Amino acid sequence: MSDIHPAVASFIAEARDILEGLEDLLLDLEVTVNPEQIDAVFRALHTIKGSGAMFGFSSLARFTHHFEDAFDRVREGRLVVDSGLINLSLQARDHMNALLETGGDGSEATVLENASHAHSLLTELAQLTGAAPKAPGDTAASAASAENALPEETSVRWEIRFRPEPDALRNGMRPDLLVAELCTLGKAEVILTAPCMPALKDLDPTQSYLGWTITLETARPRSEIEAIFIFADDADLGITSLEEPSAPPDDAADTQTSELAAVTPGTSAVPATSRTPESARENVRVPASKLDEIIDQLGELVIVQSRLHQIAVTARDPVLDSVVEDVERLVASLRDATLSVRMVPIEVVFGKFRRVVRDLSVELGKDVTLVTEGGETELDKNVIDRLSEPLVHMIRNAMDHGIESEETRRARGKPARGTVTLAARQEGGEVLISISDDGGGLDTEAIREKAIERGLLLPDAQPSVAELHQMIFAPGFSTARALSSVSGRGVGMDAVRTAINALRGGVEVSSQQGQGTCATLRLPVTLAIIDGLLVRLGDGVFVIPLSAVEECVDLDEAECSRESGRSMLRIREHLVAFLELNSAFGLPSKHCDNRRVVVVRAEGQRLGLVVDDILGLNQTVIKALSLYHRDIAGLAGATILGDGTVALIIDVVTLCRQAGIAQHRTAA
Amino acid sequence: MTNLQPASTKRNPARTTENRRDRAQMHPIGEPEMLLIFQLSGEFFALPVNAVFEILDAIPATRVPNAPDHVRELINVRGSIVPLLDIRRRLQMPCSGKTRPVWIIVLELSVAGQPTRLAILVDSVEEVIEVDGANFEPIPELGARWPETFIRGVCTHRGSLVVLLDPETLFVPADDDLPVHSRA
Repeated sequence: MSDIHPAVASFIAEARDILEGLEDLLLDLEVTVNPEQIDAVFRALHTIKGSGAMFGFSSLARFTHHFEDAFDRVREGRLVVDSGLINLSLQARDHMNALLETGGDGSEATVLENASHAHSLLTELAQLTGAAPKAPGDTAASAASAENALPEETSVRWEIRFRPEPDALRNGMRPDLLVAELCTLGKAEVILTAPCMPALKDLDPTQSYLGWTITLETARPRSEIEAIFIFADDADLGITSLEEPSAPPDDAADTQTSELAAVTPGTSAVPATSRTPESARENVRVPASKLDEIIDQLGELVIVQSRLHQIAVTARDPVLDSVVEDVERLVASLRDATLSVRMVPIEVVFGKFRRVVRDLSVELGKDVTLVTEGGETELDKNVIDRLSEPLVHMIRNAMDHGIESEETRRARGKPARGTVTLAARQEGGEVLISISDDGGGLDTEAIREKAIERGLLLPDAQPSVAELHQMIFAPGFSTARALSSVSGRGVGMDAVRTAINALRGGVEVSSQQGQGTCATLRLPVTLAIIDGLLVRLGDGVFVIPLSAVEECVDLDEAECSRESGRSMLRIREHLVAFLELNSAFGLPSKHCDNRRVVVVRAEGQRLGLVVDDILGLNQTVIKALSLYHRDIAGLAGATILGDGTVALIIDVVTLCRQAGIAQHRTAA
Repeated sequence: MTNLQPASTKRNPARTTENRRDRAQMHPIGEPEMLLIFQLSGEFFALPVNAVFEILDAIPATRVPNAPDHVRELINVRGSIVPLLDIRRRLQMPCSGKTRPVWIIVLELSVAGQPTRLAILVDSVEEVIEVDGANFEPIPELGARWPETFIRGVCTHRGSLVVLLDPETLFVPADDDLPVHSRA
């Protein structure tokens, strides 16, 4: 798999996308059925069949052929879409996916192709299409025979005139394959025409000048001939039956060709290109690692640019100044543009969960629908990639432990069908994703018992309900089997929290007993870059993520000392706990007059961070700390400043959490 | 400074972890090995040259609060942030603090199973030599000044004792390195 051809790799990537989209399409069919959707399914299958065979995935192509047959019948109205067909189609889709992942024809694909479930799928598909069920082991032969062995008695002769638009080759059309496929339908006579071939010196090798006239004798219906040309919408195509008297006489075709001949290739190309801009063709597929590389280089460019800026300041050359200003502006817009490239709508993950919920409903025997909201919310690709696992976990939990059985739901006066809602929205520099269910809610008593048993809670402690809810995130709590049987959310919530924290996010849960549970994830929009507040501590510069900053105030020493002993600070009407960052970080505390307090908020806690000075704002590319430093409390990462030095980024969440614990201790 | 220019001596990163692990476990027998010799507090030390990424002149470093003693700083090596180690603290050598080593060797190796880029401070970079593994002897048990686990062996080169460090153990964060969690 290592030396895979780039074209094959891009086929695999594309096919994966198509299969993902296919899953959605099939699930959509469960809700509503309209001809466009059926066409879309058919197109998806047709594409995979066609390009699969071309890129050495013939087992995939063979299987898809049968699948496609079934949807061809649906298209013709000879087969009705029902849940049985959708179930079968979803399984068939999964099988296609498995065939795709074998990486092409080989022993693995053969094993898979001959697996018993593959045969049972084929048999079921064959029953739908009305074809005779195939004997196991000769799927290849049967696929071929299905294409070739045709009843002769009802054959009709067709004349097909086909001339691709001049730009067709550039857009990836393979007229040879289309003609070859046409020939498989029956007895064909192919005549090549070149009505508007330019002189050799004017010939553009990327343009298509040729046309074909094919006389085809086949029993297949017209729609099947049309299906072959499904992607050749821009081509000049005429399909006429030679049996019918209404068929246009030969001179009609002649006038058309002569008309075309009159137009020179150069001018005829113009309208064709103006029709081309389809969204799909304007997209470029790029590996995410390349984008990461660009972001890294961009970070360095930003650093070099600020060095240039400093040189310009000392040089005092107006000409240089204006150039530096231009560079600065360009770098800033380049940075924004590059970051936006990595933003992906969260829909792409949400889509996957429809299948998860559908399959789990069957597995658990609970009728549950998934409602998604805010799928258009954008997140950094890197965040999205690491999000699906924790989300699957939480959805499983919601369905397994949250949603009650149908009888219980009826008894509680709820609709029999449970609902899991997945919603996303952006709030400042954060994206909030909530997973809520209308199930039984968390059982606080069970949690309390478990927490006491686990030594997380003193037997006489009186925690608030909210505090009890958060306990499900405690490590080790998850393994409690008793809990899941009582009603709580058992498995692996600490794993979820760890994963979310690694993304510099947080997770909270709220629950109404009997009403349901809602878990909310807070995630930064991007991992790569943050807006930061630069602060000075002693001789060092640190960065506080701006998204966490509420306000900055001068440190009034008098005010502070008056409240000393409680380490609280009065800011207007409110008392705010505060932390001397100098002492927290073991730095020498230099006495200076203009010390400031940066008030930050995280996980519902407010905390004042005392710093020596506030230096300004900047956008920073975040780099993770090495394994020597990643466990230091209060540090979230590092970044490189304009002058090339390294600055540390303060982890507001940990500091707030620690302050919260400290407060509890002093209060107790 | 015979073979190496201080600027940037980038090395081919095509080295496998297995390869290095084998060498580390293998005691002084067998194939010749390329070593980079450097000086620190008057002693000669060596590291396998295939771990060396580049050698830099001293550059400004950023202090990391609450960091383990021997990894107290970070530097910017061409846009990547690299921990800067003072291995004297690891090797239990005196750190007068007055004279700070002036050269930085940037290494790329696997630490605790993860590919890691890190840098060490040295007083001077001497040369690259090719030695036969057989020339190395285990350090004498008595009178060893360095913690045994960090040393693969010693040999003599041009009349001086050269201590071959074991990158597999030297850079692994020890439990006692970890900072005090939650000081609250």
